[in-house]
Amino acid sequence: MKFLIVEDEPNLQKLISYFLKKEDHITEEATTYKEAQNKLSNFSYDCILLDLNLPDGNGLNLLPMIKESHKETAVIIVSAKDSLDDRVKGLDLGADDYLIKPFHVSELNARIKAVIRRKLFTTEEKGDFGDFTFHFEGRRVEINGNDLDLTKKEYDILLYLFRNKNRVITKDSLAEHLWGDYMDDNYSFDFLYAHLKNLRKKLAKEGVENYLQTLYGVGYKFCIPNT
Amino acid sequence: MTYRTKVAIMVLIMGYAAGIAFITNTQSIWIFILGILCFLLVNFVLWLETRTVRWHLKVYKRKIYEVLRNLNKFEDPRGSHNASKVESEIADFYGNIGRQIKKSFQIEKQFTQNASHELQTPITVIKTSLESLLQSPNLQENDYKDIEIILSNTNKLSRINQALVLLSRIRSYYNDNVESVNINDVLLNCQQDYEERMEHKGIKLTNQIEQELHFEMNRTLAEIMISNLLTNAIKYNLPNGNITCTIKDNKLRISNTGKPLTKNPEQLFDRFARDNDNPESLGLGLSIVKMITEYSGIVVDYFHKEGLHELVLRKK
Repeated sequence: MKFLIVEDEPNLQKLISYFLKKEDHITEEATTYKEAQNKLSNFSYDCILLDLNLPDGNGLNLLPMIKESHKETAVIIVSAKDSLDDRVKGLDLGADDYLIKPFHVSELNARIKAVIRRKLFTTEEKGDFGDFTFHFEGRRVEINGNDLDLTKKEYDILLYLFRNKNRVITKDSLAEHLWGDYMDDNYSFDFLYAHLKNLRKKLAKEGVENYLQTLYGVGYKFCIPNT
Repeated sequence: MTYRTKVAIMVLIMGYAAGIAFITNTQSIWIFILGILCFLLVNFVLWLETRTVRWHLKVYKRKIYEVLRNLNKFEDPRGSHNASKVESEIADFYGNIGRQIKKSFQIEKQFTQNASHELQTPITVIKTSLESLLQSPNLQENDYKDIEIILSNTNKLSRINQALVLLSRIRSYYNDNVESVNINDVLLNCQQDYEERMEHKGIKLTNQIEQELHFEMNRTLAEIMISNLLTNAIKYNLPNGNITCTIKDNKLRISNTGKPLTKNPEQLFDRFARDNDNPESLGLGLSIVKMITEYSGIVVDYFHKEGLHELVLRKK
């Protein structure tokens, strides 16, 4: 997949493209409004990550142009500009998602995957990973053909883990993904731990609990066990 | 002109009239009447002048209050074409005050905007780098522990930043899109969002709704206000406690069981007035509520009775 990263902060831009390259994507960068405009008129991309606060213009103004000439391109706005109506405006102008800085890479990753799935692979209905089979439309998970009985939150956790498979995801990013950013105290982690405990029990019943690794209080990793 | 000068002028005129009266009798009556008329005229002119000054004062006072209420909309006072000296002096005076207030407001606003934006990007970079560092296969247990400390503190930093930005934004946004917000709807939606959280803590929620309550305010701020009150009622509740939401007598009450306050109730709405028991809490939730109410014509009160903490919202 080919990405265009429109971001004026060099460190962040490098980090995002480093991350995307590791996921086997091709990335190109634009640091100004003009540069983005030039690239967009000459090339086409599968997905654009768009910062709104550019030194020479507002990224929102690029949206009509993207929508006109690149209908298939997915656009995710990534911006610190979280004023009350920018979000609505961006989505109205045809952006597919909106991510507010500061964000977690795992969250960006999950959003990219969700958007791409919606945009490009609408026929993709299930995903396999080891013993797991995810049925996205029905929001259910099978393990070796057995239906796993999950609550809504447990499915969300598992899906987020699946979208970030083989990567360490932090507990903050998981809590934020599930409840938004209003979870603001230690208490939210108790809440998360409770859900994970139940989920782990259900996985253990199917003998697949070792897919879900806990890493010293930092976070979790969803991967196929070595043995 | 002071009262004493007025009396002096009166005495002077009376004396003058009386002196004349000794000269000729017929003329004296007329001169006396003329004196009285002069006196009345002087008084009338003085009264008029005081009234205009008072009127100007009132106008500018109102302008200053308007400035304080809505700092974006201050316009330099301009006296009319044929402004009297008094009027232009008053206009100057209030103009100076208004400009000063507006200037300091703009400086503060710009500072918070810049600070929040400039801070958000480095915070994102730190978070992103840490998450990328976490993917390294060579990390030891100690490394994970260190990373966790950096991460959780960065998150705290980021939350403080966001909350402070919100506090500064309230002032700039409270006036946008003011509508009649149905508080019943906001409350019920909010309760739905937190349903799971209450369930997890075993909290029993009771609603006593006797009427529909509307506040004239910005919808987003109304949602933030109610959600902060409800989170507080959950956060500081006892396990298996109660929350009661009552809407009646044009008031919304949210009361909850909980430990007694460790701090002075007057400090409850102060920034960073956090509870000792909960070091992770930022202590900004209720100050955000307070600020929203102040800018939206609402009053928030705290009561403590029969072991229940109660927060009440009503129209000013």
